[in-house]
Amino acid sequence: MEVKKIAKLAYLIVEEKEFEKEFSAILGYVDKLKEVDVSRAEETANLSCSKNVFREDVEERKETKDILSLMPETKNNYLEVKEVFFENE
Amino acid sequence: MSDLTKLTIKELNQGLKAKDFSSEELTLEFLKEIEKKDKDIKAFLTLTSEDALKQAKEADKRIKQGEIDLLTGIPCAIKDNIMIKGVRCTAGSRFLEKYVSPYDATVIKKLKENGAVFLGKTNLDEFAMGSSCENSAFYPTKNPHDLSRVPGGSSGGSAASVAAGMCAYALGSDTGGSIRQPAGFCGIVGLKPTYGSVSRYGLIAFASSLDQIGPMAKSVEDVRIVFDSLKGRDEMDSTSIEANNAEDLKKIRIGVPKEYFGKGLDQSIEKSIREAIAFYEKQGAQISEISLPHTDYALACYYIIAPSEASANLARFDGIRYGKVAEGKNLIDYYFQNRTKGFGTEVKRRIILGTYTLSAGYYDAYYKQALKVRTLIKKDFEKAFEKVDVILGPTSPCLPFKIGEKTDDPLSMYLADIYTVSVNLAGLPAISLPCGESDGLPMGMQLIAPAFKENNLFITAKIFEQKHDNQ
Repeated sequence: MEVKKIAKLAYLIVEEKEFEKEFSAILGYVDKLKEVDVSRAEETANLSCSKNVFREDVEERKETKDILSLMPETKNNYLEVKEVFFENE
Repeated sequence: MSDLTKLTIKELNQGLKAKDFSSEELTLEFLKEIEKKDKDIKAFLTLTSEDALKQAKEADKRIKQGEIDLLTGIPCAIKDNIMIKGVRCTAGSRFLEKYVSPYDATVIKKLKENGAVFLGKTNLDEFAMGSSCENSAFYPTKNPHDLSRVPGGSSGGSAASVAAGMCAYALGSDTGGSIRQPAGFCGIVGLKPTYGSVSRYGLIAFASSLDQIGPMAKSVEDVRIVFDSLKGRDEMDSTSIEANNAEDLKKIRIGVPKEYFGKGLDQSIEKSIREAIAFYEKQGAQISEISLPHTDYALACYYIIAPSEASANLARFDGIRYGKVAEGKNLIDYYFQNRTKGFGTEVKRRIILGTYTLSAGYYDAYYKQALKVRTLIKKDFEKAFEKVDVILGPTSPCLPFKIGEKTDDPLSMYLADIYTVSVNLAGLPAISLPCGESDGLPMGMQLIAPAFKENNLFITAKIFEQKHDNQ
């Protein structure tokens, strides 16, 4: 497993060799799943008993001010973010 | 008044009703206990003493008017990944060190309606990822029974605060054993409810198909009382449902999985579990050996599914809308700097593992395979529950370990969850209750029931609890 490359996909910087040894142990352990005969098993991604839960589409949030106050940068009551397009250095 | 902190919710409720003491006096007693003990145990991350005293005075007013619910005026502690409006909520992470909850979790809203008193927020492994509380970004919590040992995790702060008498009960969350394992390590009772029976709204998500909020307390009846006040359908969590679980059990049928007594199980724990089985048999329960053939694969299955879901859930932590911990040259660099500085080692480990198992080329081999094995694990339980009402076994294969003992070996830490993770994969309810001590260290017994049959757990657990009370 190329730890550095995978970490980059998750926007994480890792040191050289960081995690490598333990990942080979963990992946070695989880590899035992490959022994299981799953030819007749469906996938279970979630256990919810409910299907198609609907609700009225109404605005209910009253805590806008509290949420704004958590934001690192704001301008005129909007969240301010860094520019999305920039020249590669 | 000195032993109020040792009483159960039921006893405290009777005392409040009889006006033996007020909620304010009771709250002050717990705060005193926290001041005395928590400098050593370190169960709390945030204390909300002033709010608690205000809530206690409100509760006293209610009690005076005769409006007393079972939880009115009773002080509790809340795991710090469950939001209380206006109170800091860190999830044990640097990322949220200054995050103040803008709203109440549904479980908090419900407790507030009952007149609960909130003493503070308890320590946990960062984003609930861990089995020892050592992954907290702030400090590890100690086991009240032996300060050189871990209280378990991830709800270690909640378990330790109950065990040390620093609150009457606490809330925890359980994704792979995070309520039951620390309950076992600290000698208290902890319930992981059926998936969907308690709303997750306002719980900081770790792995959404596995997470459940549940109560931790001194007795089975206390856990039942708190569970009853938390459960039910909530519009804010579309997986939550209303379930009626009041059915009685006449003759209890207990299944003992032969796979739960393999190598790796501490001998003293095995002995006490065998004694518990013998006790139930003497009480007239029908005991049978059962098989859960895919038990050996549950942990591997869990350690693919939970990190996969976590890698997606934790993508939201980028420092943009909240939780800024670093600067960046540009937007992409800002993401990298914040996420690298904001997350601790174990969280990074799981995000990278989950990113890997979901990445193109590995998705089928790992994630899809794990989802199929999950179905087989679920079916094992369904088949077993055709013949039994509860499944009995140990909560953890080991006794509370020393602080630092397993931190260098993540896989050995994961193995501490071997009996608990399959319950989350199958979405079932399970309870851990004390079943004795070994060298002064508590041991936990786990009972598992079919979905939404929490009542089977309460009935079965109470029979055993009474035995211990009478000794």
